[in-house]
Amino acid sequence: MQRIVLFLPFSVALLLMVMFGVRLTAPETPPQQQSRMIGKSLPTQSIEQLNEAEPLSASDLKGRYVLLNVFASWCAVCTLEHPNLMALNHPELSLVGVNWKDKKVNANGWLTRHGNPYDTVIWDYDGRWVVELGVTGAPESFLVSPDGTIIYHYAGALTPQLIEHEILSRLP
Amino acid sequence: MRLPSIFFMLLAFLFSLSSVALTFEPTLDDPAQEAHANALFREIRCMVCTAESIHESKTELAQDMRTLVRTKITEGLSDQAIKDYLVERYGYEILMSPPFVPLTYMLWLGPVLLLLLGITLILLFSRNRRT
Amino acid sequence: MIATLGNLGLLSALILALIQSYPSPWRPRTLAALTCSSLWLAMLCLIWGYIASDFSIENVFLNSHEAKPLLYKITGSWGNHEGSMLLLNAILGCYGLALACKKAPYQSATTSLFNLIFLGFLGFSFFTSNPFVVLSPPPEVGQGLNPLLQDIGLALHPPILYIGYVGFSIVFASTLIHIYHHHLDQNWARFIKPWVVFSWGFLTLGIGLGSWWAYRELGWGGFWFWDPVENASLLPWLCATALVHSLLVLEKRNHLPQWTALLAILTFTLCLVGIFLVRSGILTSVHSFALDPERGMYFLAFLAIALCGSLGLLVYKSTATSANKTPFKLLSKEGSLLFNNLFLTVLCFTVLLGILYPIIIEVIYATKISVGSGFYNASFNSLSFPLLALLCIAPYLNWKHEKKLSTHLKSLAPTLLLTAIAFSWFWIQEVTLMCLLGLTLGIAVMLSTLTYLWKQTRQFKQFKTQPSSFYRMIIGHFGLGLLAFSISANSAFKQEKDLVFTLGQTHEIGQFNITLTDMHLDTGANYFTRRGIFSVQDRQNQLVTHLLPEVRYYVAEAQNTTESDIYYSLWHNLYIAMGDTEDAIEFAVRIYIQPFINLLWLACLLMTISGIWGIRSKR
Repeated sequence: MQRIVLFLPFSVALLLMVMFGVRLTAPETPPQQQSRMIGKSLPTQSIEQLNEAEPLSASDLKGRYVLLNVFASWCAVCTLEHPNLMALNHPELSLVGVNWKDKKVNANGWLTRHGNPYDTVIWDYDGRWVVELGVTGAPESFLVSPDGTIIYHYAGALTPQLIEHEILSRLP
Repeated sequence: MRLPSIFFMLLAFLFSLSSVALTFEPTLDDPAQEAHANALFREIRCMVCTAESIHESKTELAQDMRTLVRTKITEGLSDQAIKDYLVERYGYEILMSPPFVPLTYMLWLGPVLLLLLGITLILLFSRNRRT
Repeated sequence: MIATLGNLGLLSALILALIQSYPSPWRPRTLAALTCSSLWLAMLCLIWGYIASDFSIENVFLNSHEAKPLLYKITGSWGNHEGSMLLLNAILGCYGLALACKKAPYQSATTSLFNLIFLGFLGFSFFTSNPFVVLSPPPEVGQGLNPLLQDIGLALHPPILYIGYVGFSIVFASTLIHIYHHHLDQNWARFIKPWVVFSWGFLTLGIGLGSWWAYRELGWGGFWFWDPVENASLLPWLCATALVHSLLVLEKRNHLPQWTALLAILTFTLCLVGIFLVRSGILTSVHSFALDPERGMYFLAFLAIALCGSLGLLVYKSTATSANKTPFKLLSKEGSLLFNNLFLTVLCFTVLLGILYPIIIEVIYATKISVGSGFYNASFNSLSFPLLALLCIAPYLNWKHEKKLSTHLKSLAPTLLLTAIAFSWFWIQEVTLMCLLGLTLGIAVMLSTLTYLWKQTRQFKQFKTQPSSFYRMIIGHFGLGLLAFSISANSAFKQEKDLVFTLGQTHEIGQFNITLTDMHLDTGANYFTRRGIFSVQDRQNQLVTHLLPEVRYYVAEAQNTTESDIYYSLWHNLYIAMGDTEDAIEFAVRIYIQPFINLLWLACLLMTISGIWGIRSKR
């Protein structure tokens, strides 16, 4: 009886070691599977634009593939990602920037310094769209299909390889 | 759908500038609602800084989440509805305390079960020894 | 040059440990002394590298800077992974020497097993986490040390914690040898008890220091956040507490050998699990650095061998040992200590479950969940209540069979009465149920311990008649009661306000009036600071003190920290932390009134004393 009771911690310990081993050696799950936003639609509220007077809504972005890119002047990594976005040029893809928590003057200054690849820039000072989109940091990007559904979500800086394999590959 | 500008003006009316989490941001004018919001902040995790709730965190994301929670409170959503909204977008990680759902039954019940098992075993052993 | 010397020291220790793994009586003390000194030589080389700001050593480059104050240059040497592992090894060396100098049962076998474990740690340091990696050409400027770590509390915390952790390796080695020889008896208990109690004492102090640092440095008035690093140190502590008490039963009555052995094994392996969880990168999230999985795998292998090997040995060698022993009834001291073991094990399991659950869920369901303070506060705190209740009566019980329970209950009558009064008073104050139970049980434990002291020393007249272990028990138990009380009291009665101050403005909080009299900029050794001067007055407008909280910007590390300032008075702390400013006209300030928090640190200190004081006495 005693031996059976003692066997319990032994087997639990063994299972635990196996589990740790699996977890350590497992490849990092691709961001695709980690995101909860795949298949969801863009936020329904309309939102102010950086340099236009009228607000923008999700319906304005329908009809074409859109790459939504969350960026900010206070985000250091965004400067590293930016040249890759500047180089991105696809006839079917529209680039929409979501400027997060910047004063307009800072946002525009940053775009002047680093270049502006965006067709439109949303000004999300309160994070209204940012929190709706389940964003945890900048830079973060979403690929949206013409009917307004999110088909890809990546948290981090987009590299040329990622753009090639994950974004351009999903375009017609 | 374009929101009438009156909506924004009403929102502004409900908020005043004060200090929360050591940053300046608009808080709700009604102290009861603001206290309610503060209590709810403590239950929501800041996704950027691992151990802090959005009550303590100074990050941009925490600020925006606080704004969202306040807005939802003024819209009349219940605490559970607000949490469900966030869980839908961020996963269970967003809650400071794991929910009591089938996925977490073993977490919440595990220790109690072990305690009961232990007591049972002790009583069994002592009975064996007596006979 | 220093790097080569240091590396040589580490390598020689490795070889010496390998030699000592072979059981042989050849000059064990000399070998142990050589191992110990070569590791301390290596540690001194590393520290020297920091003092001299020798950035050719990669470890110094990554973790230090010219402008850092000397004290933090030195303590920064163990404020990183590689340096701290080297320190751990150096302390292991000291313990190895201590073991060689003592007469231990099965000395050569224990020494060789200890050195095998030592080899595991040394290998980890030398092969995967070597602090003496050299950069060529050497960079000009160091990357600096995280400003949060530039604090005396956190400087002392690792060495003290390691003295605690490492001691259990000797306990572990001795346990395994005794399991193998079917010799889990009173002699064994008597031998390992001082090692266990000593390590437990330092572990208590180490945890207390870490908690005190968090309270002062992190700016949120909290002292325990249930994060993985804290939990990693709590796990062996709970197990070690159970071990201390289980040893008592084994030593005095020759009962519970298997359970004691199991606890001894678990205590050490939980130390390993803690180190593994915190340093392997298994608990990090998506947005943080990718830690080296190679280190993780090495340590996992080490852990797996130690854990499964020892538990397997225990299963294999377990026999029915209660043949020649007088059985005990459940209502007895043995019985209460048995339940004590169970409760502490369950508490330990609760924390472990909380840490591991996200990993388990992720491996099985590929979903991410987070287990935070909400779970721990609910589960751990409620499960500690039966333990506290048990502690009130347990010391009174006789060995083998308690027949005079009613007598003991009568002597506890004043305790029960006062506790009931306290309960009602707190209930009227409308504290939460958890706090209520914690407060009441804490008071009950303290009072019952004092009553026991009074009874055993015949109403305080015969202080000298009791052995030191009796007094250590009294101090330790009282400390625990005080801990439960102060945590609950602090939680129930603390006040917190977020306020905006302009210069000259006064706010009221609790029994204080606080005025911002000045705000200015200044520089420190390696930082810029914005310092506020708050004048604190009581309700009669008498000046109590000035508090000077700061917001610092550390240039080299490009990081801000909040340096709170705390007014320590006997029953509470007044705690001010500053935040942002709106155009340097309005200042965001968070003020806490933390009642009873000093009692918390006192409780930790009392428990530490109960572990360390009088360790050399025979009884």
